[in-house]
Amino acid sequence: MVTKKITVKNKLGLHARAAVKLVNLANRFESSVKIEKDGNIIDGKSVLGTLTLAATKGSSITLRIAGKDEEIALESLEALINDKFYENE
Amino acid sequence: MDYFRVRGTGVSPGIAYGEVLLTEKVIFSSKKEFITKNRSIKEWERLQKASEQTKKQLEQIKKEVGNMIGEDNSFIFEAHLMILKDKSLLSALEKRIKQDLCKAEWAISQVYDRYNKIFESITDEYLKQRKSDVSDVLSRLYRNLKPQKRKKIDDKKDKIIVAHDLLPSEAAFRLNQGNVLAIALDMGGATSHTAILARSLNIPAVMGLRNITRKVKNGDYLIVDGSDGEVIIDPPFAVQREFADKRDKYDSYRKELQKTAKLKACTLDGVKFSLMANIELSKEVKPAFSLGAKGIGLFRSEFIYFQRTDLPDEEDHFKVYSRLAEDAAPLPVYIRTVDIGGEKNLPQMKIEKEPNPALGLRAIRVSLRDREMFKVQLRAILRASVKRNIRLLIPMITEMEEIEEVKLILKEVKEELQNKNILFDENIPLGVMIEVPAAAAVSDRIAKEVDYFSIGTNDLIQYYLAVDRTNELVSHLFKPLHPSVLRLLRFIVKNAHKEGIEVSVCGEMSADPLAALVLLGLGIRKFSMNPIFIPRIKRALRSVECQNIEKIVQKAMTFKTAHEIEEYVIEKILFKHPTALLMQEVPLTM
Repeated sequence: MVTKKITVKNKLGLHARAAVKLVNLANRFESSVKIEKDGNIIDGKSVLGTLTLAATKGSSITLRIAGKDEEIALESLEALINDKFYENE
Repeated sequence: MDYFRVRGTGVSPGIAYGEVLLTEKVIFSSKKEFITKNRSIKEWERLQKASEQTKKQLEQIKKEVGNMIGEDNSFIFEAHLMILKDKSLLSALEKRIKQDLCKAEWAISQVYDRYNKIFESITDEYLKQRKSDVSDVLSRLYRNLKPQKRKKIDDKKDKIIVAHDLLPSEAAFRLNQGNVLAIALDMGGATSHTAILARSLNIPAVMGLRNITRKVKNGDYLIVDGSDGEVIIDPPFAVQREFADKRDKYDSYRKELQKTAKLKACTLDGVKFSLMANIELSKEVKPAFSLGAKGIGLFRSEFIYFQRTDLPDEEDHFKVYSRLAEDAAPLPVYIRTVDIGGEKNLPQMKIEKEPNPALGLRAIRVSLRDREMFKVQLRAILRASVKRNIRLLIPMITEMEEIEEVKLILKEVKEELQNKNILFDENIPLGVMIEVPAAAAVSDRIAKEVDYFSIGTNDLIQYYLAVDRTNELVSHLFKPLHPSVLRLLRFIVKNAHKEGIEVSVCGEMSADPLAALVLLGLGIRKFSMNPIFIPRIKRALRSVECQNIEKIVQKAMTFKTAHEIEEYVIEKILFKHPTALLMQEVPLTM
């Protein structure tokens, strides 16, 4: 398993559009993707889970990924979050 | 046959008859019925079937909305589709049915309650709103559990929208689709944004019906009488005919208005004036022009933000502005840059709640703080200006420094576009709203720096008299004819004339016949207002001699109180022009 702590930087946090992008990407990998925030752990492949996480701008989340393609999954998801979900702000 | 009449408040006149489209707010079952284990497997299959049907509907809506107003706006339905197939949602439903041995309806209501609680505990306002996405999906699923009598959910057919309440964003989105015959809501009132939108798009609406959503179901037929504030459910033929007559009368009244629209905008003594429209959607241009508007005097661009849940990008802005410019050409369109903040807060902007929003971070203050966002808007406005009929309007200017800053940013954006060889109107007129007393006081200086003034009387009077007109305890003190207000207005107009720049009024004073006549007397020749008031203002101004009104107003300004001024002006105008203040045959209570 690989884990990584990341800060959400885009303006709106993990809002609907960002959540959809994140979940779509997570589902491309075989590995399980869990996201933790303030002690709550949710399934990163579930859009509902991701929305209920309420990760606003500046909140710090931990990715926990386990499986065959965990390295590449972590790298891709980290890039998406750090690139502010390719939004313009 | 039984039928019901329900009374509410008519907020947008006109009469419509049609089929109900009940939105959201499905009342979930609260009855727990136990079933056998065998039955529970069937029940789970029933739910899966409903889920499959829901998926098809959502895909269809997504495609249609995408074709209609762009892929970007159909995005939310993709989120809905993902929620629908979310494993955690499905497994929760399955568990409820198979372990608790209860019906699918109950399972949905339980899962709905659970997500409701989770979202309620979120403190971030924007993310909290996502609750409605989940309930939207679950409501649709719930509805699909029962086989639908009608062949197909046809969201494209013209319908009467019945809902508990409509947020401005929902209303803008729905009304923009153009297949709404009328609106009937449990909540709301005449000043709500939905009401304003309905009026300007000429869609009959009745609000404050309390529980209309519980009295009708999809497929019922309704009469919505927005003139008298009444809704009739399943009307028998005789009642339908009575209302058809009423509708014909209303239609001929509207035709009468349109005749007024063709008359020349000119006073008895030949002084020309110009009436323009305040609007919020590009779709409103044509209805406004049919009422006689000679341009869009105020386009409230913040409505681009209200129609979506994320921030619009340059293309989103550009599409709206170029459509406006095209529909209005060659007549002018005054695009006011975003007036967000104050009471018009937006979750996607993340502006902190302020103790005193009217005096806080709003309008140009927001734009100068978030310059990237401002530049996105300016670029889009410039790109849409190739027809040379767009004017740039900056709200809430308080000091000269702000104008300098706006000019610098505008120059930067222009250079960027030039470097990319993108065409735009290099001489796009730059004007400012005069709505803060400080700006009015230095309007002689400002007049040297800008191409025109647009006086926003609502805010100007509110700030000048220190009266919140929505506060019932003090609203009687909100007096547009207060001598201090008239002095201030005269000062602004004189300063504009001295520099030879244009000056117009876009507040509600423009839409009130008496106030509009006073403005005429103060030297105003351009008025912008909610388009439905254009015919009556045109009639008022056409029936007077400008010269005479100027004299009356001049004399009125020597009086001490608003009351004396009002009495004097009314008396004198009626003496000279007995028809000027007649609000003739307006068959509606506004």
